[in-house]
Amino acid sequence: MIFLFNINPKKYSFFAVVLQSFFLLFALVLIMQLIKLQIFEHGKLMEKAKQMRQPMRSFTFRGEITDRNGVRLASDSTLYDIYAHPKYYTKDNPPEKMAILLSPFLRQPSDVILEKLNKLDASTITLAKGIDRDTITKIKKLQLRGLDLVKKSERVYPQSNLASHILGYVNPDANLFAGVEKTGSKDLEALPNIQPVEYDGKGDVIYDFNTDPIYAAKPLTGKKVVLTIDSTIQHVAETELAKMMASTKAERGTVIVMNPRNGEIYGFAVLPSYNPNKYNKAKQSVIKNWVLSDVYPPGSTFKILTLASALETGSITENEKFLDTGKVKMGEWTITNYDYAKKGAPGVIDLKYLLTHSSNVGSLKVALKIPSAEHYNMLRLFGIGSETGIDLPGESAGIIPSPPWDKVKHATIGFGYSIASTPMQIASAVAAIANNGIWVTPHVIKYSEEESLKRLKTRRVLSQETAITMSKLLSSSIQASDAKAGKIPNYRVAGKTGTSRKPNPNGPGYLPGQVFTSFAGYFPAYNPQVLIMVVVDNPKGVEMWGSTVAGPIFNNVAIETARILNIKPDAPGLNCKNKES
Amino acid sequence: MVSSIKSAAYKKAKQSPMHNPIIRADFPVYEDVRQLPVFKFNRFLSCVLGVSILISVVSYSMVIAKENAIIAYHNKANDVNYDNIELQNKVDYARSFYNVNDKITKIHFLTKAEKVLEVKAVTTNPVIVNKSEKVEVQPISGY
Repeated sequence: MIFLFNINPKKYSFFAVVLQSFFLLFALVLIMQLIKLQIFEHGKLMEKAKQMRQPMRSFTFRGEITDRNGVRLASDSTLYDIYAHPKYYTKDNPPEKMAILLSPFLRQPSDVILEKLNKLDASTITLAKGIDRDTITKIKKLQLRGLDLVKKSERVYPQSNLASHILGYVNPDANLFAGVEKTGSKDLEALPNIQPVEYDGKGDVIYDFNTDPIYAAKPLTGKKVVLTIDSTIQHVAETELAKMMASTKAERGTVIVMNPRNGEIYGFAVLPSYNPNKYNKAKQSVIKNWVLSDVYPPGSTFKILTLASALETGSITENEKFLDTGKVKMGEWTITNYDYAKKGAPGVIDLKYLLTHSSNVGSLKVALKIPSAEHYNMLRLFGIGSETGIDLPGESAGIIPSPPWDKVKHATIGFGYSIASTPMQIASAVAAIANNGIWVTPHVIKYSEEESLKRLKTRRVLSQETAITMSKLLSSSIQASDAKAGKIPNYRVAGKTGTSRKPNPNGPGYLPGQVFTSFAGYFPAYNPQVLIMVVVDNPKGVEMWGSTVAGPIFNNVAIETARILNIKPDAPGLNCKNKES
Repeated sequence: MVSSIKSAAYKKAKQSPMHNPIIRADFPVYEDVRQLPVFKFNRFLSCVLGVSILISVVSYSMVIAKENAIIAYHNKANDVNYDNIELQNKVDYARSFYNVNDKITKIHFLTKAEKVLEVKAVTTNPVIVNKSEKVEVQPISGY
């Protein structure tokens, strides 16, 4: 250096000392600063660093809901809310220009947007909510400063109305949930246990050796919930029910298709339904799952439980016979058979005749043979008067009077009055008969074996012999009946129709001319794989019976269900038009 | 560059003027012998520092470039994933039972005809149309 620049050695020496001192001082300052940062302010700075990094993603998706075959019934979509921050407006893009540019994308008049943008005192202005990704991509291309595009997830139900009462809806703003969205919420919100991805202040991912790029580029999604529902069966049930409801102008209706062996529900049609994508436009009375929350007098379908209880308690035998006078006077009340006006007194009848002709007199005589305490206990075992425990919210326990019962009450309970139950209770009670006497909790969420043991309850209600006897009586009565209800080709169905008067919700008595029609049945009768329960509320017409309204729905749904589930026929040729034998 | 004279004069940094010199001349000032290795060492350190600074700058710019590339890929992957989700939703909706039903209802795909016209079978003998005779085309030159 000296040779190059010909510096005076004295000056060089001085210069070197100054330079060295400067560097030394600089190094000392650096060391002091490092000591200060690393030791004295370590905790504070660590906290600050943690705050600056975002270890968890604020944007997550709820888990998907699929049917038993993997058909997606609910998933999440991405939407954006657009906010403006006046302090970041630029001269190049004044509010006037921004309003004109944004107007076609936000589908708002430019003067409305301008009015919002001109609130210069506000720190944040809400411009629009729920804008789709395509529109946002176009807005991003405008490169407007002062706009904040906040991503959010929105629940979508691609199948629209299908199984709306099972799926429910989500309103995260009001923390409102319904259906499986409520009962399965814990799983749907459970995020996978992975190394959290960190983000910098700009929102970019901080990649390090532990960062999984696959997870980093995907939205974090909750656990998938698989339902026991088969969307095809669900669709068939809804379509058949809708057709009948349209032709009879009925108020409400339900079809429950379940596997009596394990309580899995294949289809659960509840009409009128709503579109969960637009749940806020539906009436609360429609959104409510009335099949679980509202009760009805089950009527003649309840005779199944009366007979099963009587057989199980030993109050009657399979070959018991009764004198059916067609009409019985009990205190102030006169109880008649539904066909008394046409057929009068049938005389001595057996249990098969009782079921075939739905004899009220026969049923009350059977009921009165069971001691009321035992009858009550049997009905409680069947689940009447207690919630079934189905994995859907808002279930009612139903109404069953405590014993001792007076004679009239006991008699009317025998044919499904003086008590009130939900269609689900009747379905699960009849399913217990189909399942060789074992009651199983009905459910719509598919559980693993471990979870099933925890969540599902089973209990023996009937002996296997009683259950088989009941199946025999029910299937033979269907075949002996003149009605077509329950007669499906190639299968023997065990079931019972029901028609009950609709109670007056505003006081005692019944609504004139209004009925509940129902059908509960299962097939193949001696190896039941499917149980179908149909209830139609207030169909309008001349001949509104369980056999004429609910029965045809049962038949059509049963035929399609057997085809979809590929159930082996137990009686080939039975109920076929062109019988081979 | 370093001569034997220089090495002999290591004790003095520079020659001081003498009162009665035998020879008067403008001798070059010799450096201290220790200064040379210090100079060499300093030069070495400067080189190392320079190279380290260069490596740091290059590697920093490479890391930044790579990070930017990763972020770009990340954003693209993100976009593809989100697009995929949206498309899947659209596909699910398009093939949903209700949508298919609606579309079929609108185009009357499965609607039965209100009236079926029954046409009697033709009992007369079929008319056999003889093949027309071949037309002879005279070739025209140029075509």
